[in-house]
Amino acid sequence: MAASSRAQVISLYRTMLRESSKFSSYNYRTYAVRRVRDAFRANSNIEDPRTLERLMEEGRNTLAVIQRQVTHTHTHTHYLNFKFFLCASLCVCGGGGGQGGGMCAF
Amino acid sequence: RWKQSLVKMLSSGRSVCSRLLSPLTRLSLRSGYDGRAASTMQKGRADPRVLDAMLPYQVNYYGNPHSRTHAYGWESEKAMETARKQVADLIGADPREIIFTSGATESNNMAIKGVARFYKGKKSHVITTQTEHKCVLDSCRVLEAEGFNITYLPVQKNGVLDLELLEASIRPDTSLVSVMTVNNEIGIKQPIKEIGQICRSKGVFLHTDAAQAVGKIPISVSDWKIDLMSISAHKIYGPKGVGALYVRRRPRVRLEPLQNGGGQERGLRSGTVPTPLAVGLGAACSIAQQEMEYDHQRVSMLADRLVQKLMSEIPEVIMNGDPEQRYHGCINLSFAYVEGESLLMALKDVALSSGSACTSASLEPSYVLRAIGADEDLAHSSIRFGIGRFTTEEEVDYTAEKCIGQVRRLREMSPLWEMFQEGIDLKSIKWTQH
Repeated sequence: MAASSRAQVISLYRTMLRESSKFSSYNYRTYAVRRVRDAFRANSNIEDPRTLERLMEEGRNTLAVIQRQVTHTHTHTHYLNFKFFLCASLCVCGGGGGQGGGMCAF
Repeated sequence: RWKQSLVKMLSSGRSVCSRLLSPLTRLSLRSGYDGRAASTMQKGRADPRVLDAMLPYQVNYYGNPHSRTHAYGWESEKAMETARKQVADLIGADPREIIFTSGATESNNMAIKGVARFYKGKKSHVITTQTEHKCVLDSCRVLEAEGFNITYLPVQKNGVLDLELLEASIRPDTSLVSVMTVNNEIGIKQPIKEIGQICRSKGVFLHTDAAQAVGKIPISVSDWKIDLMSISAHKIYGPKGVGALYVRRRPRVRLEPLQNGGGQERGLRSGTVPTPLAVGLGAACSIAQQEMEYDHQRVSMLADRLVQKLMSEIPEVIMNGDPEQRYHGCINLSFAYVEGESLLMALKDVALSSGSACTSASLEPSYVLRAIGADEDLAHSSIRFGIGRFTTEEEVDYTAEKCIGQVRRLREMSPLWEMFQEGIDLKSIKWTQH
């Protein structure tokens, strides 16, 4: 394997692991990390540049899936709850104190 | 005074945030393993890759796939046909043989009632087994009420159907044989290939409920000579509310539709196909095909780990169903002298089920376990473990540990266990009735 493509593979591998570890769901997170690791291990002996390019393309597509899914699962669970929770509770407080209005924009 | 303290609190916004945050962080931890929200039964959890495929059709491409007059409709139709091909590829079928339905229950109803009713002029006999899913058995009951003859074949002690018995039960007026590929409660694999050969040679259609098998074990409808097959999306990490029925074209299988109307799905299932769900089913099938080998190795490894741990630590554990001829992701164990429901209650933070999800509400022992000849008391003490793509080692270990502890605790309280320890044969005791 050429040195440049080797660096590319390692970089993709690292990015995929990093992004996978961002899943908020425990089961999705552990699966993604495990699956990425196993896939790279299983293909570690491949030398043929064409196969390598195909696998890299697949990897990049999977990375995009992981990034999209991490973002929206986050948006739909914790982040949203967090925003609602903060907003709702601060609005109640603000009503009494007369100063909380600005916090709702958070 | 409280106004003042409130003003003070609000002015130091950061501390309010951190105070509000602390319960939130604790909450979010619950989705992690530490929160003991471990769930081993991964039923119904969709794969993120499936969601990723579906999302555009929920948001951007909202056309009716049956509308031919506008581009929105074309997009949806194309997506639906791609999904149909993905389903067909997984089972070695032609895309034209796939009918989208709302799930395996509808597919089973459609196949059994549909075939029986279509051929009722000449044939009026249907064969099934006692360990089928409720929706197959109930469809057969309905047919019985309509005047059909149904044979409910018993299975052997290991849960597998006796092929000679099946062959002997086929009559000249038999139209359909329905046997499930993998049992949902005990994980037994039926010899569908052999059953297919028998049915083909006798000129009888074979329907199989493969909801638990598709995507988990390799299936080929042409090699196995299957004429109709039910598929469910959420059993293969797809969305709930969608499934498919495979209907063979050559030799042609004809059935009377259950649902009439606009003539969608070759007139067999009228009603608009929900594009996002169909796309989800297709994606789930394609991922299952690609991941089958990997998933199989992992699920078998985890299943072995669980069974080994439990069996080495607790005596008198019985595995229900054949130990070899099975799908490993579904394990049904009986813990003698422990009541299954009590054990379930004690393990309630681990999602398991004694019997199938549909029947776990009742305290009756499972009819499947009764059919394989399990003693009444063992049928009462059974627990089903499901292992899937997203199950982790930690979850398996946690479940096993917890289970071992609870079985020991419950047995210590059980007078039956004490009697067993003293060597009293419980079957010899005559209980007085009140």
